[in-house]
Parts: sequence; structure tokens; C-alpha cells
Amino acid sequence: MNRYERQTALKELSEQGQQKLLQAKVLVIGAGGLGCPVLQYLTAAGVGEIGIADDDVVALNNLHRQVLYKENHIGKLKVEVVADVLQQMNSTVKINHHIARLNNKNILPIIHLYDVVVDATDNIPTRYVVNDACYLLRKPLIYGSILRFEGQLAVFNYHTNITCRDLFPQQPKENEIADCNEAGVIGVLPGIIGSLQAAEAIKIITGIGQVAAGKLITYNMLQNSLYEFNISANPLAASFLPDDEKAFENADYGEVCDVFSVREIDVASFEEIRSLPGTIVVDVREEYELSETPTIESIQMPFSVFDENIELPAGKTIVVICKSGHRSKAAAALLSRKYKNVVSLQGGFNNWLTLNKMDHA
Amino acid sequence: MRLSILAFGQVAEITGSAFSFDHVSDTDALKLSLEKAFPALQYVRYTMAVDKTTITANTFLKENAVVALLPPFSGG
Repeated sequence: MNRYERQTALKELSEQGQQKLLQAKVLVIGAGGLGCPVLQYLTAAGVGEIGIADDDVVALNNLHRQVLYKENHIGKLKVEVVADVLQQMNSTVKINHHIARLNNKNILPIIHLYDVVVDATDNIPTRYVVNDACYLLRKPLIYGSILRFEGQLAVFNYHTNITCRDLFPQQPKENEIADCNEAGVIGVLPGIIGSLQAAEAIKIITGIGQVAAGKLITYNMLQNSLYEFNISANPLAASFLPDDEKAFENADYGEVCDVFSVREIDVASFEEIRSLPGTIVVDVREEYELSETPTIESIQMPFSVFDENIELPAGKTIVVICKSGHRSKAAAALLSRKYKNVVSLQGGFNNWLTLNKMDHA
Repeated sequence: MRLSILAFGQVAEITGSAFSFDHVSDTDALKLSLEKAFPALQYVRYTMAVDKTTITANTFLKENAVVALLPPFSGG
């Protein structure tokens, strides 16, 4: 019995395709919701060498969607757990660890080692770093991303010069986009999009079928809808792409916003401190949301135009508030780089209104 | 004469995912009308596709054109 006979039986793939898989080197960046299915299917299919880049540890709230991990993996480095699981799954595959958050200073030597790159990351700065690095080194890049019940898939630098910068030339700020930690996600969705990414990797390696090169595919799980768009070459892209490796390494992609380290306070504590002279309240809601609540004394700085370098008096406690407590957390993370005592109101005005209504009832 | 609009992600949360809209001559005019109808759209970044191809400049809209509003996602 041959391990791969059920896939080599496909005449499009055949023994020849299997040989290509066995010789292929794929880098998967991110071992989370998208990365897990990509890694599992590529390992099972017999890709010769697989690199995993991630610096995170397994958390309890990962388990609903990152189905490679088990409860006893909580707290362990994802790269180490994944390598162990994949090696048990297919001992013939060479697994390389890259325990690092890839950035524009460390990514190029790693990408050099591989033929195909899979973007399974979860944040905008890293996605643009990966995009620009693959553009410079001419490596096919399989992009996948998700939001709530929707996903996107695209292939860049493969038989086209199209990259992510043809879609969105300028890197969006993190405050322009909700991520799934904030917005929520159902586990099966990254499973589907990650599986599509693995399928594109197999097609690129073996040369079968039609690769989504220069196309953006969108999938909506609730509606079962799938759309495909051709990505036009964008004349603006060139002005944002790095000219060479040196320009890339010197560019500023911004830091990944660490919302997990933000301290939150509840409505009761907020009510206690908000009128104190040592407290400053920063309201990051948009103008059109302000009429939804009674006015409270605050500095208004809508999240869409939020400037983390805002000058605030030193030595105060800064409480950031928004409608539901998500944007305020991200804004508080940004402010924490410059100011010490920054907290976010948990549940935002939604919680504040609920509790104030109860008080008056 | 109506345009068909397909919206995705954060844009769809503001506008709904599929709807028809009064015909306007080009995509610049459409962006303005959409932002008038849905003021919150001003704060969301998105790229437009007309009849399944993304556009990079103001584009003439045929009768019954299908326009997609595609914001970037970052989750994974």
C-alpha cells in the first residue's frame, strides 16, 4: 500500500505531481485559525519541507477554531506543538521551526528558503511585510483572511505581478479594520478559507488546475456565496512597494497593536473615577454615534482619525471609551506606548447605559 | 435603471450585503451618493469592483452594472 495512492490515482496529479509535492518547500506564516488547516493538509499531502513561523502560545479561546490544538497544549508555543503533531501525522515531512513574529528586519532570509509562502497571519502590519517581502523575492504568496462570517482568498506574484498593494496600495491603519479577536469568528470559517489556501498551494506546486492568481475570491458562510474578482494592476501600487531589500528593511510597517495587555475597568469603577481631577476620559466614538448617549465630560477623538501622538496632560489616568469596548481597547493599546495609566471601559457605553438604566429603575 | 451593489465585511454591516441603488454616471458619483445614504461609509476603507474587475480610477457605470464594495480583512 502506498501512502499517497488515493491522490496519485487522480490522473491530473499522478506520480509526477506527487514527486513535485515531495520536493516542495512551503512556508506557513501564522499557526492560528488559517494556519492549522493549511499545515495539516500540506503535511498529509506529503509536501517535502514545511516551515512554520509563529511566536504565540496556545490559549483556551483558540480551541474553538484552531482544531489542531488540545486542552493540554494551552500555554505551549504553537510552533512546537504543531511541529510535534505534524511529525506524528507524517514522519517523512521535514518541519522547520521559526519561532518569531516575522517583521521587515527578519523575514527575508526565512522566505529565501521556500518556494511558496502562505499568509495565515491575523494582523495588517505583518500582512504588508509578508506581501512586500514576497514581491521583492518573487515568491508566490497565498493570501487568506477572515472577518466574522466572511473570508477572502487571493494569490499574488504567481504568473502575474499583482500583489495586495494593487487592491489596497497604502497599508490600512489597524484602527480601520476589525480583527477576529474583536469581531468574533466561527471556527469552521478559517477551516474553509485555510483549506482553500492549502488547495492553492497544491495547485501551484503540482501545476494542475487554475490558480487564483491576480484574483480575489470572497466567501460568505451565512449566504453560501462565492464571488471572484479580477484584480486590476493599480498604478499607485508601485509608489508604496519597496524598491529594494534595503528600502524594505528600513520601512516603517508599524507595530502590531497588542490589545491583550490593555487593562479594562468596569462601569462601577468608571463612575467612581471619571469626575476626579486625576482622570481624563477619551471618547473614541465617531461623531454620528455621540447623540446615542447623554454627554459626559471627555476629549473626543473619533477612532477613524485617532492619533496616538495626541498631547494629553502627564500623570493622569486615561480612560478610553467607545460604544462596545473594542475600539477603546485598541486605542488604549496605542496610547499605552506613550502614557502609563491607560485603561479601557469594559463593554463601553453599552454597559454604561445598561447599568445606569438599572440604577434609575 | 438601477445598479446592483454587493457589499462585504464592514461595508455590509453598514449597508446590508446586496441591494439596488439609483443609477449614477460613474464610480466617483456613486461613492458620494452612497456616503450620503450611509454616512458611516466615510470612515471605512474599501476598494470598488465594477462587473467583477477592481477599478483604480473613476469608472463609467453602464446600465445594470454590478458594483462590489470590498474592504480589507485582517483576521486569521
